Amino acid sequence: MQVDERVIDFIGRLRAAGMHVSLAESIDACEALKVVPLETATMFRSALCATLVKNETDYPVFDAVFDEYFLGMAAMLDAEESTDDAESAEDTSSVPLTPEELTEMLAEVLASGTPDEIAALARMAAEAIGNMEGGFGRGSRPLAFMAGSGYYMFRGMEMLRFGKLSEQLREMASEGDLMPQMPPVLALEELDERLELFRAALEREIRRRLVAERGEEAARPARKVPLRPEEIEFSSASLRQVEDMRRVLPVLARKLAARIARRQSEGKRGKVDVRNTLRHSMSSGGVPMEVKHKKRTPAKPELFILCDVSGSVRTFSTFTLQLVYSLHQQFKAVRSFAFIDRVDEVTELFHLCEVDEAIERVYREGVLVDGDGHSDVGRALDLFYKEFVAELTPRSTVLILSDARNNAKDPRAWALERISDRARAIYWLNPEPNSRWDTGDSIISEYESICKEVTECRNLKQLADFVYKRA
Amino acid sequence: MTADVTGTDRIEHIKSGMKGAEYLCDDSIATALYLAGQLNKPILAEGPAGVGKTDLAKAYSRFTGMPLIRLQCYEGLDEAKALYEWNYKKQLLKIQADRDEGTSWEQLEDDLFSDEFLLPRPLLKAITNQDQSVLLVDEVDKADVEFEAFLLEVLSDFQVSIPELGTVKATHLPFVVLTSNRTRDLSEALRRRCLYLFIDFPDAARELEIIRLRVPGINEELARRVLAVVRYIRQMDLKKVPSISETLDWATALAMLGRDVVDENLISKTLSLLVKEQKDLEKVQANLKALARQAQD
Repeated sequence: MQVDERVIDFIGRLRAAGMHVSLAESIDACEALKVVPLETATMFRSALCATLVKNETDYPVFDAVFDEYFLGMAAMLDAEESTDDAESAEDTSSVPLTPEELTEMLAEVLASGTPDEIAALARMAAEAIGNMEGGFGRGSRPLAFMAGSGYYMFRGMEMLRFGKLSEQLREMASEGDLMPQMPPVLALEELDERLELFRAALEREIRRRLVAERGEEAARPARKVPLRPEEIEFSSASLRQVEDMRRVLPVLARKLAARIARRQSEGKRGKVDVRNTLRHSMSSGGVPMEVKHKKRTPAKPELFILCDVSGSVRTFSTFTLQLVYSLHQQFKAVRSFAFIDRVDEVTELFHLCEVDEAIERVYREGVLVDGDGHSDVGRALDLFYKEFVAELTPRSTVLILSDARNNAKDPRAWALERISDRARAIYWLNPEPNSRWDTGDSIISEYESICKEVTECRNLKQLADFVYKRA
Repeated sequence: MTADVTGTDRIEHIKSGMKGAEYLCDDSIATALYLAGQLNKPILAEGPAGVGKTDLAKAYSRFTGMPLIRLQCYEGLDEAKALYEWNYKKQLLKIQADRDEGTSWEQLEDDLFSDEFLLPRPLLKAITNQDQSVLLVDEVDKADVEFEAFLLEVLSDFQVSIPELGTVKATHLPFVVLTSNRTRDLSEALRRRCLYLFIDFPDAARELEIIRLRVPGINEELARRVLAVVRYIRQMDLKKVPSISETLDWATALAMLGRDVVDENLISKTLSLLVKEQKDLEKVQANLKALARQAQD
């Protein structure tokens, strides 16, 4: 059956993009399509989605591949059919609009137009971009023959002054002038939706035209499968990715807490609880049928966290602190110290406000820098030792978060050694990949032998694994 | 390909039926419900707390008139609590009561392991129910991994063997909805057997409709104002953002108070219905002015 073949081919692409789709799920998808009416695209999409996507994080992958595969195909068919009439229709249409006129119309449609009107405008805009560039995939510019849809999108946005326009509209919306019948927040949301709609429609139009010009391959965007938030590296995360990571952190912390709690309750049971056993035997006529055990209370360590908050490892430190604080019930006490080239206790701050806000305040108020602002692990350890060593006990665990890049200063490993004499154990988390340790000014090996464990911790997943292992 | 008109009609039918049961479906939810019924597959619903995962099963049961059987999962849930259990206390009593009558052991054994002493738990109830039922397995992520494996077995065969009684097979396959709050990852095997449905916060238009549907007698103005405030709060950086159920609670409270004007004072007094974390509460209290402004326009 033709539809089945298409679907199998589509599933192949999903797999190539990194999604796990089993045979059973492919069969489900085909079965689903037999019972679902194929008249509308949304129905088709949700049927495939319900049977093939089994994880929230797979949605972006599915969406990307679906759009590319099916909408790409639709565009091809469309293009074949419509080239003839489209050309004749375009001939009869009046003089092409100028960019200014287009921008004006866009503003109007975004404020009060229907989705169809927005799509129609996108079509006109794509036309204008084509005129400006001398046609899609050809024309005077030297890179025209290899430019992808991204390039034309960029040019189009520039031509329409899209950035400025959307800014203006958003401002109007937030003041309630744009859609007076709606409260500002809703108007703003609606506007954002419409802006996205236009952007998507324009991209589709451009891709369609490119396809018509050069065939399917050209219009396909370079495939980039979005990374799962827990696999994004701390050191190279963009602002947006940090946002994603912040979104998943509470979920991760909850899962982690549940896993730890489960492990603890599964662990060895305590002694037989005679009283409880006898009490329960009452319901079976004094015969003790269920033996009750006492619960064991896990030993809670006292945690000292020393975190490097200099620019290079700030994201990492923030996330680690957030995770530790959301698991605070696992510890007897948590005390945090931040350092760049000086060290300062910041525990109080974390009691007062949220972790990221606290870090912000550490920057503003903490006395972490008195030198040139480059991090100096050695000095920080030295100062920590001098000021706080008396408070370390054999129950204290010290956790150090740093990339150990010391800007060629004295490592002062002796300070760490003395700290280790007092504390139960020292763990070091390094956000850099293993292969980069001890390159450049990284001096991790100076400290490695003193610590109980030095662990590479590049993303949230590794961080969670470490916490689970050690908590 | 039997892509017939009735398919579309049926999905529309589900949508309107669910609306009648006070649940607004979007396309993906309606399609999933339809497919689950057609393919006899469980639905696995995930999403933030309070978006109506549990309500989905309840509403479907109201819509179809099938009885709802609910299995609430928790840590330590085992077969005995989920499937069936022998009422050993009653059995013990029976033995003691029969002691003087001198019944033979064979006779006694037959008596002891009969339906009379069987305590059917939700899963067995769903299987043995006379009519088709809606089985809601709530918060399946709270249960242990072993239980999940056991659940898999039941959900794929819908039959249970009770050594003393023999095999019980379902006469009607129950319509199964599993919900999860993602406190841990469910196994691939379980996901594979289910239709997956991720329910997120609805867009403004749908949420407004939900408020109108679920808070009868609320006037249009108030509904809009409630929505504006809630959606503004959701944009703030909070630990726990107000969910739909909290929105509905708040809207109901305001409607009951009979107030049309949502001002700072009113928001401040009723805020605890919406925001449930101390630190979040402080943050929102600090922004009351902006909130009240949302509600004015």
